[in-house]
Amino acid sequence: MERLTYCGSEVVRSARKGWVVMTEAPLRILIVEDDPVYRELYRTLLDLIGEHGGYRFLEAETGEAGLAQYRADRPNCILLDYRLPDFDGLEFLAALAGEDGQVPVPVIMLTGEGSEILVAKAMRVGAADYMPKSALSATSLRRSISNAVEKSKLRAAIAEQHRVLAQTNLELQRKNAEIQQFYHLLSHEMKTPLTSAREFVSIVLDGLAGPLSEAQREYLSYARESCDQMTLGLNDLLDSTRLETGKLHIAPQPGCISTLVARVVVSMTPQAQDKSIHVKQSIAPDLPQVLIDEKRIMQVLTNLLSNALKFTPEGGEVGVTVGNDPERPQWILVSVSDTGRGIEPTQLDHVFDRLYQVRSGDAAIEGGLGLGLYICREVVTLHGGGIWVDSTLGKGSTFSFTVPKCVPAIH
Amino acid sequence: MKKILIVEDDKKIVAALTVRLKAEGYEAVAAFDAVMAGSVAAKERPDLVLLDISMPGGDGLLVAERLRKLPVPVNVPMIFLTASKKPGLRDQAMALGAAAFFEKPYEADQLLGAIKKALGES
Repeated sequence: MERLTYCGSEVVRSARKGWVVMTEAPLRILIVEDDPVYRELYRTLLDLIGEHGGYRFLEAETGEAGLAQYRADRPNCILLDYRLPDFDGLEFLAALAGEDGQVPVPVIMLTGEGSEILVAKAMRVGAADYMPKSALSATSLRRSISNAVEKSKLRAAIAEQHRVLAQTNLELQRKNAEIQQFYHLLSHEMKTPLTSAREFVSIVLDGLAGPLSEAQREYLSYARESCDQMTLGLNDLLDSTRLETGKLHIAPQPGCISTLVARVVVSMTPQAQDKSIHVKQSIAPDLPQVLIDEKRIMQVLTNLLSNALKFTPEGGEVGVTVGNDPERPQWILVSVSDTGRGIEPTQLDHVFDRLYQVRSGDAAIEGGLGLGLYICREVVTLHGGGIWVDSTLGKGSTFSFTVPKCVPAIH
Repeated sequence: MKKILIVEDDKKIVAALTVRLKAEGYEAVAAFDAVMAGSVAAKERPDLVLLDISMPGGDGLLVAERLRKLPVPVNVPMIFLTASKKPGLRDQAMALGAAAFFEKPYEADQLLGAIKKALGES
């Protein structure tokens, strides 16, 4: 066999493959076999093929000696006679296994007649392969070794990746908890100065600091609106951190969805009037009671309605529909539709994602924290319901969600 | 003139509340932390207490309990204000016999309405 060194690597000429670059150290094979004839046979078979000459042999005659040799030399593969004077194959594997029960090195069992059942068992507890001594060939032995070594390398690489991933995951979880905690603190800490800013503006607006001109009144009312916007943003931030950490809980009670919807529509009337938007309500009569957390569903409705008003141009129309879900009798369907520009089909799947920002090309209606629809989805989901959007570009969007009807207790 | 004790660590909010209360014809006194609250209440004998819940060095809910247990107990209506959205705070406050519970930022009209109602003026 010809060998030479090229650029620091060993290059070997093989009869079948021509010149092969040896990029790895030769494989160290531990042969644990009490019969010297067989030891000689294995060595010969492996050397005979001589494809890359990459084997170094270690030998042991007993299980004990084999284990000692394994610990001392850490071979790449073990060829194990199933019946040793002191151990059988299963015992040897058990002794070899680490604390985690894994056999740390590929072991190929070489078996005599009649040990098929035991061999099957050995494969289950971690042997890499087995070969009947009666049918050994150079090719099959070599292939078995290279497969076993390759598999064991891959397994080690995967285990290492798993370990790294698990560690990274843990680190990310810790960081995320830290960020959530910080957001929580931030929104809480911001609220105190915001309260005082808003309240002093209100005090002046209410005339407690003397009479105001029209312009002063107008400008201060803008300042107060901005304070309210900030409050909404901070509350969304708080809700979203609570959702992220699984700390947002709902307290559903029997309630009337029609009244709730009407109340939200009334509260949004000033915003609608500002843009001369007509809000068309269509509420089915005699709807049964629903099981909802009123405050939370109100938050969902307020959010959807305020989005609808935001995206609908001046003089447009916003519709609010409440009725039985035609497809599922146990649910009430609530829809809020706008006559805005609609949502790009590619964005439809993402509008409920946390921190997702709709890109419309219209700076005036972009922005926001990207939390509103995420919170809507989570709140509706906590109620067991679903939320979705249908949209036609140029015509508008309809956001719909379902809330559960009160089911009479079953006796 | 009815006297209202404000227990609140943020001095600007105390000032804003004081303006509102005076405009409504109340006398306002303040304690800026949980420790001060007891001595001010014992000395001033307020007709109503407005309490912030999360304050450094003490929780408004505990202050309320302590005021009720003073040698001469302050058994007057208590109204809580909080910037915290911790779940269950409202229930805890109500369980302590709170007359009302408001989240910050509060709406002055609603707060003043609750004060009047608690004092039996409306």
